[in-house]
Amino acid sequence: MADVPVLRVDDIHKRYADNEVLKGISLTLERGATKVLIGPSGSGKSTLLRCINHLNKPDRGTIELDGQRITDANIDRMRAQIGFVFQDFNLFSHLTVLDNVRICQLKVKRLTHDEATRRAHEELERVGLGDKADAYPAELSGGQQQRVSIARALAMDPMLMLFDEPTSALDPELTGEVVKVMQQLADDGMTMLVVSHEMGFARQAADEIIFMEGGHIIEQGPPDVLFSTPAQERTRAFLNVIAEHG
Amino acid sequence: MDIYDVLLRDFPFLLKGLGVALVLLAALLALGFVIGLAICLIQLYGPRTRVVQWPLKVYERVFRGVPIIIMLFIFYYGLAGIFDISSFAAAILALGFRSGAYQSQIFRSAFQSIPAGQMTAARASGMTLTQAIRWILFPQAIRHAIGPWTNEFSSEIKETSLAYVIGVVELTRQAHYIITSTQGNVLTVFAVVALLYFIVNKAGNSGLYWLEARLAVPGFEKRQ
Amino acid sequence: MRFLGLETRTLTAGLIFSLGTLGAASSQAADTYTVGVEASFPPWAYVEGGEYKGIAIDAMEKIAEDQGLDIEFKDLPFPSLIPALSAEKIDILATGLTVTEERAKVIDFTVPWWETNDVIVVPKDSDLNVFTAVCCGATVGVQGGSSQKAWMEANVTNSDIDVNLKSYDSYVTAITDMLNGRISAVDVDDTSAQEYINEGRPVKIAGKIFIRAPLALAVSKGDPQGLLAKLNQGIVNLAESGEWATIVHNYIPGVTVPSVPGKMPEYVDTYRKPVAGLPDLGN
Repeated sequence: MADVPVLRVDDIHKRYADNEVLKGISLTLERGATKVLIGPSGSGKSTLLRCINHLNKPDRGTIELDGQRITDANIDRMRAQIGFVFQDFNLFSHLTVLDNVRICQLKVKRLTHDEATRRAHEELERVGLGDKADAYPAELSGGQQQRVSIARALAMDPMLMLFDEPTSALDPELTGEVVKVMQQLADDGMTMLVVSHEMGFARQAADEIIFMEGGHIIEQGPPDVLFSTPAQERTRAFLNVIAEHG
Repeated sequence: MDIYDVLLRDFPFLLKGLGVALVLLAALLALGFVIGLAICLIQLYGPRTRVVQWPLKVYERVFRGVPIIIMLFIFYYGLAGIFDISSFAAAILALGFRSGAYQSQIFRSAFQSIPAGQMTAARASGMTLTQAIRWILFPQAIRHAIGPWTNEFSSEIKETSLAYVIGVVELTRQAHYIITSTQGNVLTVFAVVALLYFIVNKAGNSGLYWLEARLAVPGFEKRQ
Repeated sequence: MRFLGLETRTLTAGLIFSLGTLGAASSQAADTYTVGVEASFPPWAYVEGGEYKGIAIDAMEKIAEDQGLDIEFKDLPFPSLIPALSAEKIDILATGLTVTEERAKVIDFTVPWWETNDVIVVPKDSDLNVFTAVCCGATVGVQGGSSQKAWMEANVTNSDIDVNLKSYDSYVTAITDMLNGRISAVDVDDTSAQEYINEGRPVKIAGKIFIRAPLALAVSKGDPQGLLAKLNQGIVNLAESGEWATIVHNYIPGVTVPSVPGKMPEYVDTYRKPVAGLPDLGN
């Protein structure tokens, strides 16, 4: 249905030992929207992302994908529709690039070999790595590996893409190629939730910035508003710290 | 007849004994592989409940701790009350179960040396636990396991010679026949036997290294 | 994707293979009796050129023919033979087996077909005699599980005499060890000793310990297969026809063949009247 948000996160709580990392997070993501989560480390951004596809199971609260509640019973099916890009890429090291992008199509979506191969080549072209299909992950640079990992996620035709600090593990000169791909994705209308420190990307591609601290959402709003005139003092403080460090 | 003539005449019997030992070896390694892998997977990815995990620990302790000859006797004589079992079958079971205990250790190490992110990425794409193990983890674990498995192979070759205590006429026993029927010549006969064991060991190791090379993926050992 | 199919296929093949060998290994022809022997115990039983040979082997084959029994031989190390009989993994025990009271409790003996005495064997060039070989810190070799070992333990090591016992899987190995200087003497039955000398090993008999121990065949306690009568009759027939003497002289020429059946000790329950298959005999 067109008016159901792709993602609805409702009152998520998550606790590790005696530390409550998420203290009641709620947000929605409309079709085609790109939202960026920012905040100091330890604010729970990555944890939130992992709660969405139940890589970490929330203690309380619900997640709805396209109006359907995510439960233990349907989790594998739900995950097949959510693309997840990790900070450490996590490419399958025993498979070629092409196989990396193909395998989930073959095993999870049960596409035919030809169809999966076609889609795989398509996505590899899209991220600019069409010529690397037969290489192994260890033979690629960090930026290239991350782009393959994006292609791998895209090949599944997800309705939602989650990015968990996709450039944080990359050398600075390699972040550009990845950010460029993410930018293009956003322009093409993908629904994306991104945890990142890439303020350039946030400014240009995000429909909304969400600032988290200490397990709460402190403030959210369009980038031109939040970056220039943040309503909350803590937001301002954080942005100043970021600005100082460029 | 001097000892060399006897050896020449009886060499086919030594080879027969070697054949018995090799079949026993293959069977026990196969059994151990299946048991070891199953135990490893249940221990790493199965239910954490005590009723499931505890028997596996006990199994490992028992089959690693009890001397091989005792284990052979238990399977051959001990089971006799329940059902009839031949020497060869008893040897396969005793040695195979024991190999399983050692192989489960090898596989556990192998699976645990795979970075955790591999499983996470597989599950995040919608693969079930079984799919993730089968398509992502197992191929990597196998590559990690080959090295240590070579040790297990060498170990088990030597242990097949103990099967004679329950009546399996393998290579060592055939050598024994020659020694007793010629009343001596221990060194000569056992030198030949040692050579045969050595050849099997070397061949097996070479095979495993070939397999390792064939499975090698560029940069596999590098951490990401 | 490399090798994934091969891995699964190899695994399945391996599993089928091991289960297959298990199945093949377990099947056995019915009504063929398994005769357990220790095939490294010349002249009673050994293997030469892939064939079972020896006094016990030849005699057993003749008895089986005479009594219409189908038999096959199975080789086990000596200490395993009696447990195997008790567990009914073998049906008949045919080797140079001494009748002792302990054994009579767990297995059923046939009438004795031989009488042995134990001898102390020393290297040919040794000047030990039967007394000096078994004293003063000497190490004497015996076969594990044998009556010689039991006799030594009962009469020598448990008393004041300072002797060590070393157990071997087979007498042949014990003799070799003795010739290597590791032990000073071996306590073995006289027929085996004669065999070693005949084979040319540089040993000699230092002295005889008169035991007059009967040797017999055995079946599982309670004679579950009903073989005892047949075996007893077979043994007597073999002796009366003269074939027994022929077989023995084949392997140990010139030795005196004791009368069959031999002395039947009172402590053996199968020697009580009536003896199976020979109702006129018995204590």
